[in-house]
Amino acid sequence: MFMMGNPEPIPLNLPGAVERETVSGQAVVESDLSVEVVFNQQWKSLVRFATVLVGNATVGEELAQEAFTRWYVHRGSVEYPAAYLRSTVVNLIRGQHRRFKVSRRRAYLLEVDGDRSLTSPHDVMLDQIDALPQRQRTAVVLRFYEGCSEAEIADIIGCRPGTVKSLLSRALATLRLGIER
Amino acid sequence: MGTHTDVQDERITSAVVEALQHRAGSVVDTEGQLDSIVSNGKMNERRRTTSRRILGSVTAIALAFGAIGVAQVVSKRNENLAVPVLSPELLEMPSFRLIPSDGIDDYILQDDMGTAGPSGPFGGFASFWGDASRHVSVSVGTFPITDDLRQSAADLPRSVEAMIAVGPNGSQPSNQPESVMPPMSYWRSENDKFGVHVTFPPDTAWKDQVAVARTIRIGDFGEISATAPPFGLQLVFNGPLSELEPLERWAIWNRRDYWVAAQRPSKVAEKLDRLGFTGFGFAANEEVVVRGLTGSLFKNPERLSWVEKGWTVTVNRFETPNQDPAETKAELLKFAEGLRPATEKEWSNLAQPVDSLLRVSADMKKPTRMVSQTEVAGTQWKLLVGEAVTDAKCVNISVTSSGSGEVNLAKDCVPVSGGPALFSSIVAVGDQRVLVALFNETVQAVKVRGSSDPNESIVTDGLLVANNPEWTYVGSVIVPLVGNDDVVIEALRVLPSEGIDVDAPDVEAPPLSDEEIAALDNEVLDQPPTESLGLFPVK
Repeated sequence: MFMMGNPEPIPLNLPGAVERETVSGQAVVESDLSVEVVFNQQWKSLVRFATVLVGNATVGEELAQEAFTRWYVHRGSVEYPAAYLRSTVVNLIRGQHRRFKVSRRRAYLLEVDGDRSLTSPHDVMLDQIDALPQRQRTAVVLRFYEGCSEAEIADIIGCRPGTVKSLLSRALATLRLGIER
Repeated sequence: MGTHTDVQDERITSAVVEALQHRAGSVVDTEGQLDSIVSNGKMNERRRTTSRRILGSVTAIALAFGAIGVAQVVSKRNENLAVPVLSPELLEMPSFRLIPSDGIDDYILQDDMGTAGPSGPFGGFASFWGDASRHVSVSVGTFPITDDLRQSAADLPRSVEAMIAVGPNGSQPSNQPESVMPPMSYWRSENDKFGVHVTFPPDTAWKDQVAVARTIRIGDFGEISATAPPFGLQLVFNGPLSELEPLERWAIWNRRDYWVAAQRPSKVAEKLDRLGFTGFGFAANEEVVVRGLTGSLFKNPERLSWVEKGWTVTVNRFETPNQDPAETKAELLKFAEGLRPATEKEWSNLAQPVDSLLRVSADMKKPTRMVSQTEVAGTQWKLLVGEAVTDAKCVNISVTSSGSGEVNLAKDCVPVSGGPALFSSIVAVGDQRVLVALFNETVQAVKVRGSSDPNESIVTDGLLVANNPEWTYVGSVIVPLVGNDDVVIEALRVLPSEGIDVDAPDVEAPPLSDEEIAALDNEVLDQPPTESLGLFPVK
C-alpha cells in the first residue's frame, strides 16, 4: 500500500458540515458555516500545512493569515473552504517562491550558526525535501502530510493528475538518491 | 504494476512522512487573528465593490460622451490588471487640504493623481502603481524653486509624508540647475500619511502657484489604476492637426489648478497599440490630444483660451462622489465654449517649457538601443533594457518574451500591460533619475543597477517585494545622472507564467550565494509591512 507507514491523513473536513469534505470534494454544505467555525476548524491545520511546506513557522502563519483573508473575501463562492485555503497557500508560495526559498535558507543558516546539529534523520530528510523544486515539494507535502489523493493534489496545484504522478515520482527518486548517499 | 508514485521503497515514504510530521509537530499552535482577517477581508471587499462601481460609472459616462475608446481603455485596463481603481478611503477624503505656509498664500491644490511624465498624460498615471501597502513612486520632474518654497515644503504638517515636485512634463529647465528641487522630496511622518504632488507652473509667477495635494494613506496609490486616474467625464473634440501648428510638439500649460497637454495623436495611438487597446479615437487622422486634468479647471475655462478650437481635446473631470453628472456635463460644455486660438503672446509665454519639451520629444524618437540583455537560464523570459538617453531624460525599457516576439512594454515610459512587465519607467531629471519598474508575477526578482560610471558605481539594487502575488514591485532607485548613465536591469529570477506546460520540469532559481543572502539582510523583505521602504531620501 502506497501510504504504508503513514499516519492517518489529516482530514480536510469541517465538523459541523453535513458531510466530510475532501479536497476533490464530495458535496459539503458549508454555506451555513460561520466564518468563525471555518477559522476554528482550519486555522491550526492550515498553519501546519503552510509551515511544513515552507519550513518556517512564522511564514507559515503569515501564509495562513493571508489565505484566510482571501477566503473571507471570496467565501460566498467558495464551496470547499479547506481545499480553497490550501490552494491559496500553495499559490501564495508559488507567487513568492523566491522569498520563501530565501527564508528557508536563512533559517538553515541560523541553525548552523547556532551550532544546532543537522544530523538527525528528520532534519536530513527535511533538508532534502526543502531542496526539491517547488511543485515537487508541494506534491510531496500534500501526498505524505495531508494525505491527499493524486486528483486532489492536481486540483490544488492546478495540473493534471498525470503530472502529479510525475512530480511525486521525480521527488521520491531525488529523495531516494539523497538517502542512499 | 504500480504507478510512478507507487514507490517500492517504503523506507523513503516512511521517512518522508515522519519528517513532515516532525516538522508539523514542531509548530507551536497559535490562535490566529480572526479579527484581523475579518477586518482585512471586509476592507478588500469594499475595495472590490467600490472599484467596480467606480469603473462602471466612469465607463458609462465616458461612453455617454462618445469617448468610447477611453471607456475601452479604462475597462480593458481594469480587466487586465484586476486591480481596484480607487479605494473608498480616497473617495471619502475631503477634496482638498490647504497647507498654510509663510510667504506663499495661494496654494492651489491639485486633484489629479497622475503626473506628466516625459511621455505625457499617459506616462504619469502609472507612477503610483506598485505595492499597495509599501511604497509610492512617481514620475517626477523638477522646476526652479526658491528657498521660501523649499521652506514651505519643510513646513508641511507631519501628516504629510512625501511631497513630490512635478514640473511640466517631467522636464527641467537646463539653465537653472542650481535651483532645482530634488525631484522627489520625501517627508516621512510617524504615521502612514504622505502628501503628493506639488506643481510648479512654468511661468514667472510660479512661486504663487504651488500646489500641494491632499494627504493620502500609503496604500491608496496601489489602488489607482495606471490609466484610470480619477476620470469623471471626458469630452473629445476632433480637428485637424494643421490647425495646431504651434502644438505639433508638446505643449503644457500648467497654471494653478490644471494642466493641459497636447500631443501628437500618432504617439497616442502608438502607445495604445502597444497597450493592446483598440478603438481609441485619436488615431484616425492628424489630431492632437489635449488633456486637462483636475481641480477647478472648469471654473476658469478662459485659461485654456490658447487652445485652438478644432483640436482633439480630452478633458478629464474628476467627479466628486456627490456631484450631479448633469452639472458636470454643463461644466464641460461651458469649458468647451471657452476655447479659442492662442494669441502670440500666449504662445510666447509658453516658449520655455515648449522648447524644453521639444528636446525631450525629439530624443524620444531615437530608436532604442539595447545595452543589456539578460537571459535567465531555463526560464521563459528575457528582460532587456534599453538605452538611457540623457538628453531625453528618459530611458526606454523593453521586455521580450521568447516565443512571442518582442514587446516594447515601456517605450517612452508609458505604462504598459501585458507580458511580464506591467509598467516600467525611468524618469531622469536634473542630476537624478528615478526608476520605477513594476512587473507581474512572472518576474520574481529584478536587479536594478544604475551606473554613473561605467567602471563602477553600482548604485543600488532593485527591491524584491513579493507580498502581492499578482504584482511585484521591483524597484525604484534614484541614480546619479552623470557621464555614462546606462541603467541595467537584470532579471534574477523569472518564473514561467501560468498556462505554460505543466509537465515542464520545474525550474529552480540558482542557489543564493552567501553574499547574496547577506545582501538580503537589509532588504525590504525583513521589514514589517507597515514600514516604508525608505526608497527615497528622508528628511
